[in-house]
Amino acid sequence: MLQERLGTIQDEIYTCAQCAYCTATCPVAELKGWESYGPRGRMHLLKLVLENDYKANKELAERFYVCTTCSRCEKVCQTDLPLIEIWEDVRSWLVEDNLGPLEPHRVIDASVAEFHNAFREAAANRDAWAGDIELSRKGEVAFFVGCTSSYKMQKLASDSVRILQAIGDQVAVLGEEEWCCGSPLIRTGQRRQIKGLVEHNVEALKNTGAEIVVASCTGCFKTIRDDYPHWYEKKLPFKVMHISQYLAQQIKNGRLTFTQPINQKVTYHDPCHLGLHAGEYEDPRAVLQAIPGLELVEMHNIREESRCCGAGGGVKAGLPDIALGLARTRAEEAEETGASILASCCPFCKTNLSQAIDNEKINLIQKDITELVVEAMGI
Amino acid sequence: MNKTLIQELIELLGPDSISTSEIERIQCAHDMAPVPKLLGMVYKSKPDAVVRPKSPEQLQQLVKFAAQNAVPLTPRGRATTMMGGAYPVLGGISVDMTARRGIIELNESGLTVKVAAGTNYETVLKFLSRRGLTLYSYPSSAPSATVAGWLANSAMGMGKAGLGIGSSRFGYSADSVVDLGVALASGEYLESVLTSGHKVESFLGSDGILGIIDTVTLKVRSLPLRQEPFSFNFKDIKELCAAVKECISLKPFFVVFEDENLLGFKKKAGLHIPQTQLNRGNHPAQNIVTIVLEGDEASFETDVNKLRQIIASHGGQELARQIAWAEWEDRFRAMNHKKAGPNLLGGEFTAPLGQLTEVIRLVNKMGKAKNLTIGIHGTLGVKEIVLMPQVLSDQRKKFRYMTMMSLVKELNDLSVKVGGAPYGAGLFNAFYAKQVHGAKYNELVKLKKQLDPHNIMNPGKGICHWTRFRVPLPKFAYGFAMGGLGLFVKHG
Repeated sequence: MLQERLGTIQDEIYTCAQCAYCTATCPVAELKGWESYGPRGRMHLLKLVLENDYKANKELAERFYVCTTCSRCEKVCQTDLPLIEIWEDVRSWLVEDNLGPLEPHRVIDASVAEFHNAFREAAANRDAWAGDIELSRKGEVAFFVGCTSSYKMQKLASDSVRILQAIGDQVAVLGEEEWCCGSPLIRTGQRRQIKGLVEHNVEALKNTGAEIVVASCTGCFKTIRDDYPHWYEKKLPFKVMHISQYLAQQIKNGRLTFTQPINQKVTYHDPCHLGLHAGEYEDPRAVLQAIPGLELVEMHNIREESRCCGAGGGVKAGLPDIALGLARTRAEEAEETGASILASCCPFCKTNLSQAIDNEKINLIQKDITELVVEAMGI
Repeated sequence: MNKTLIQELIELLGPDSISTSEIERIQCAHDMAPVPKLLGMVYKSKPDAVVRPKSPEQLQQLVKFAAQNAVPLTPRGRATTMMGGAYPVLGGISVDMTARRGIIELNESGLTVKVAAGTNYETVLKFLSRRGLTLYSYPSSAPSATVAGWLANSAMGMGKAGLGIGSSRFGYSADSVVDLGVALASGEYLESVLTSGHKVESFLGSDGILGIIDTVTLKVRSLPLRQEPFSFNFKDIKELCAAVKECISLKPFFVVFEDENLLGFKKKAGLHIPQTQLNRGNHPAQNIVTIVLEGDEASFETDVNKLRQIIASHGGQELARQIAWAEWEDRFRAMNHKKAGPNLLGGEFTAPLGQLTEVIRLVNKMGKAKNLTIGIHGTLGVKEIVLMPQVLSDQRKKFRYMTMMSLVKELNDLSVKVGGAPYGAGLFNAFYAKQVHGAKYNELVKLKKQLDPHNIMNPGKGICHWTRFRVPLPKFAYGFAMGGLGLFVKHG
């Protein structure tokens, strides 16, 4: 029962000052307008449920699933509440009460259970993105491809591996042994498979012999780096880096250099899982700024004040109109900079922002940082 | 409101602007202060509907509808006060003004900015800052407080409104308001109060009982060349008070202090307490004051030197500059120690600056008599001080929490005793409306009768304290109830 479960976080519920700093900064609250869609409204609902003044229902569940878990709310909370943890815990309790998740999320859970990926694709096709790229199962660096890059956005996978190989890394990929990282399930409160996924992936990554695991999907990166230690119940036997961090490091130590200028104005969108969640704002910018000819122009809301693209937290799958509404606002902000390219480094951001750009006929091209790096390397 | 009326309202405004769902109505039945359920019997806090006007036209339509049908309207910004002013007493319609947001017009040569009522202060500050401009004053809840919300709150009373960051240098929040757009109870929409024959100041600090503010034109100024914080530690709070009184001559932009009890709450909440360096070792600070000065290069340096002299003459010790910057960065986080409660109960009131030492003595005496640890947070106003004495409490301990609420009244009475007043009337402090509004009280009562004869604008608050039965609660009954509860405040 949600009410009983809320007893475990009652200190946090009563600590909430109801100051609304969270709601004032929440992009979903801004889009929807109504108080119940914002973090303060949700905290108030939890208190009412806890005190038996409101019965949890589907309407309440929707208010929890509309959140992209971008964590802007947590950053401004004056009482330092762990709001993202609260939203994800509550979602898992809603699942227990059969009030969640949303239907598209259930499909993902079933797909991961059957196919080990989010898209009901054959596990045997995990390496299909590689084309003529020679792959290895062992290496000093393991590249965790991610479901989206493996099946839907294959250029991101191939660009990433081509870059890593071009700078001389021995790169390992897991092939069929790579299972969904679990991010879409954790974010939507579906925890039944998580421990198994985590244990499998950690063992598979360990078997590559790599000391560093690199991911170009920020969802995989955040999940493996931040969520896995909890589920694995011990320290991970490797270091986890986002590809932008890894590439910035290689630029610094002289292994990655660029030969082809990109004479374009580029603005950069901070993906929430890399920026707000992991605090990494500088490395992606360092990579962009190292490209000759490229002029980085910033949007108003960047770094800790960055606005979510709208795709996170299961919102793209569950409530696509909300996701696109948020992406539209972000794409318009990018357009105001006068840039011709909107760069980012997350497949979810890319999908959602690209759709908004197309729908609104915004004069921007969305590119992943790896795409720009490949161009600038001339490979 | 009956179903027919609600249906008419939906047809009038469109379904996107109105909600009658339980999940929205319960959101508009509270503000930042948790109110014991028992009081739900006294007030009809939950509105029958929530309306989010998106345009002046929609606001006007709504007010006309309410006037024709005698439906109470309760304007609501972000509801970041604790006095009950932003939720209904009689049900009716909660008018959520946060859909009316955005910068309408910046007049760079005239140095004014016109904004929609529901725009929050932080948005305005960021917009201006990008253009080398800023506001004269803003609330300590700027990240969420709406412009009209702060200006409508009675705080220092009609015509003055709020005290906030910048007030100790530039005055009350009302002092930087040039013009307003207001929807009157008659259904008339005043696009410019200034040119309408009404007074702008009437709608500032009057708790929204005269009309609903829809737009605000504020004076703006260039960003100061220098603006820096300085923090000091005092062993003795009396010396801190003396230093604060003296430094008013420097016209500081902001002055905030916290006593040792409040720092104790922070420690209990797991927060870092600034350290002083004494006798070659680090020691937790005892009573901290942070003073923000601003000016051009020459005047700034002169003022800093004077400030340091004042502080030294009272035995204060300057803390490291990074501590001062951290304190300044935390200016919007006055409740960051709340988890130590998890509730904070107390008062928010003003006292003449000359009474600062005395009022702190009286608060501490009260704490000692009741065996309560009262932490004190204070900020400098124009010629007064705003104090927030507070105790840690826990609303889960229901009876104890109820009895502790008597402390609020005792602190309010204390403020009156020293020549001050509760900071704002709203619902719960409406018993002190005469003290809050001072000489303007009679004018406010008169205006209420003139502008809102059918009493639809935030009824039952501001100048009176109504119950859901449309019966005013007399002050003696409030005093009797609070006094009774106070008897149960057990020592320890």
